[in-house]
Amino acid sequence: MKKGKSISLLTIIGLLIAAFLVLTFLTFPVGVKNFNVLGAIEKGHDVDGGYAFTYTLAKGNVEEVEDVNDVLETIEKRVTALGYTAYSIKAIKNATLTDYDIRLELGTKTNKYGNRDYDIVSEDAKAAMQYGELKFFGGTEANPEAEIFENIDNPVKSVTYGGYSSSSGYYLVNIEFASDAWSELSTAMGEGQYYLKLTIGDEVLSPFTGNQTVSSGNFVGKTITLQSGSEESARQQVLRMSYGGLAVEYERVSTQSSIEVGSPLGSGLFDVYTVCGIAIAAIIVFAVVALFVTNKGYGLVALYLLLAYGIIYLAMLLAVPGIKLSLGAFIGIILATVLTVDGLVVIMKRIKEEFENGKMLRPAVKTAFARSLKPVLSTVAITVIICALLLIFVKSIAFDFAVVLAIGIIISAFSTLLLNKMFVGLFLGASQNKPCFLNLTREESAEV
Amino acid sequence: MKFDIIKKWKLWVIATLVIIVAGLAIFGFMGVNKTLDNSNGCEIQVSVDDNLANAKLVAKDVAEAYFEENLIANKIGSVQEITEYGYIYNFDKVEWKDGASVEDLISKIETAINNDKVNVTVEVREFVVLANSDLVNIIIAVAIATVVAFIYLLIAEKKRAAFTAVISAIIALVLNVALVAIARVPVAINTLFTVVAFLLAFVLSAGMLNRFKENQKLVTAEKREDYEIANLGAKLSVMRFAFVFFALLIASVVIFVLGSVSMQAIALQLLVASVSAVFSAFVYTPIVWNAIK
Repeated sequence: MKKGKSISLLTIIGLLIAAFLVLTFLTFPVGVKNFNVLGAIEKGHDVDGGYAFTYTLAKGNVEEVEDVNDVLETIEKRVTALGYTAYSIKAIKNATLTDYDIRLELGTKTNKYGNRDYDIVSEDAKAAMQYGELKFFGGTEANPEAEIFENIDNPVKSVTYGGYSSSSGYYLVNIEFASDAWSELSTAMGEGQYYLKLTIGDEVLSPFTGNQTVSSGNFVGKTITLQSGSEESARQQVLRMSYGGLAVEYERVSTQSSIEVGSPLGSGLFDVYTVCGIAIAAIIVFAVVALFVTNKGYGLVALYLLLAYGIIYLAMLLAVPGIKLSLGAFIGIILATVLTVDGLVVIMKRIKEEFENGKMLRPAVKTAFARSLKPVLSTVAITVIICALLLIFVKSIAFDFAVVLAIGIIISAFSTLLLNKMFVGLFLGASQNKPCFLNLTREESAEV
Repeated sequence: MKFDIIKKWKLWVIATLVIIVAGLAIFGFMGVNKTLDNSNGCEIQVSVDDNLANAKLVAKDVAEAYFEENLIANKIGSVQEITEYGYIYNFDKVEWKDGASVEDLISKIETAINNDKVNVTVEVREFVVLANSDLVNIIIAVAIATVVAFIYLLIAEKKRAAFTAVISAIIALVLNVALVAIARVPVAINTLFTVVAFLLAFVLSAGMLNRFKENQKLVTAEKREDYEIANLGAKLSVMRFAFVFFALLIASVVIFVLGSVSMQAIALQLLVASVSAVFSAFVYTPIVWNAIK
């Protein structure tokens, strides 16, 4: 490519990168909302704080709490079933109390307008702390009081979140009844209408309020699908019907019903978000400076590449639904960035070796990228394997780490192999293919 | 001085074994040094009912100075802000020096705020947190990932490389646990950094093994022995490993310097994971590869 064309293209790309970077930090109006890229990515409780709900043992509680750790463990399972990866569950007690209170801190969620929604988190906390046994009532009249499935230990085989249905516009919950429960239910439904009611403790579970009928036509096999207006309420339904209620009854402390709390890892000027952002920027600066010192012009290539990589990464974090920036996610971003730098170093080393072995500059670059394909793909394969297994088995912030790292390493491979090649080609074109641009020397003449 | 990492393999192995045995012994007797996020302790909540005359910040400054002067505590966690209007401080225990008390602290804060309309509350509570409940799942995930990655390398790079990479990664994992125990690094996020050490060592080792394979294929006038190929491969990888290590070191330093107490623990764990991974991959990949024929 001619020098002039290369310089023009590099200037355009540079300006585009600069523009995207500026837009990343700006807040600008989109429709009726103010939009900020960094603010649009949902953050976990450990990064951005959330709401704290305090629960105390209800006055009417019958079951004694023998080991508060059992209670905490049960609540944790319920909280992770709601999709939270970063949260805080503590049993707290002051000098006046004999039993522990439970303080549940959940990260803020955003509603479909992108605003923090207290109600969603409050309902999640309520679902997690729900007390009571799951009971089924059925009959031929509305609001049935006759309990069914009394002799069946687990009438519900599974309750799963069915995702969003674009055809109906609702979020789906699939309830599969166990064989014996289905047998009893289908006999009771017969050919007519049947009123079904579900309760946990004193609460009636929508939509099975006892005022609507079900028939065998509503079932596919032993499974009935419910429609819910939001993902959060769908997940709450799944939780309630899967786990039932807690064995111990807690009630929300009215004087401290909820308080908004900051990150448990510290807030203020240098909060988690800022510190990790600076750490990632420091890695990029180090890589650019070090590569510039060792390989001159390759430092500029690294600058363009790492900034482009960062923009693409940010775009993917925004585009992929369900991504939450917790501390685990930031560790994933740091590791993915370091592996990108590693890829850059590997390729530059190979360009140098190929050139020193006698190849001309452009063929040396081409061969170096061809030779680097396998090690880069190995890095991606091994990382994706480990991340995939973590995603399957783990529910804590290691889950966020795995998701973000997997995305990062794929973008890293794309950047290292394709974008890097493009930028090297453009910069060599701009420097008129002079090997000294990449600090390449060999014993014989190196002129192209 | 000629670069020869394999020549001193006995030294490396003995040094590694000493660290691992010492670390695992300390781990066995003393357990891990948990941060307050992961262990039981006490918290003090300092709050005001209104932010008149900047009461919240005044209360914070007075309380922190008071804790430093009058509180006996071995471990101090991060400060969590309550948006309206206060802070929660975590400690391993709350023991006041002679003359100090919660009432005294409240009095000092009220004097500093100097506004009758603001009420100050200081509450001391003990708390219990869950032990790491994801540990078993992470171990299962890493174990299965090791097998799958081994099979991948078996197909892509053959048996010798597959065994070498797995052994290097496992050494990194065990070394990370040992170093964390020896250095009494506060353990913050479950076992995540052990996974980081394992993954990084695996990836770096696989990269170095690819280089050994390339060097083997080179037709040169002088046919190289595996010993020379391994040493040459390690020598050619120095820059790569240096970049990775220094990048992670810089990230750790930034997080340590700028972050809160809890973030400093994260930084130390990241640094130890980097050291474990880079050392294991750089030293043990050529040694193990050369040893397996």
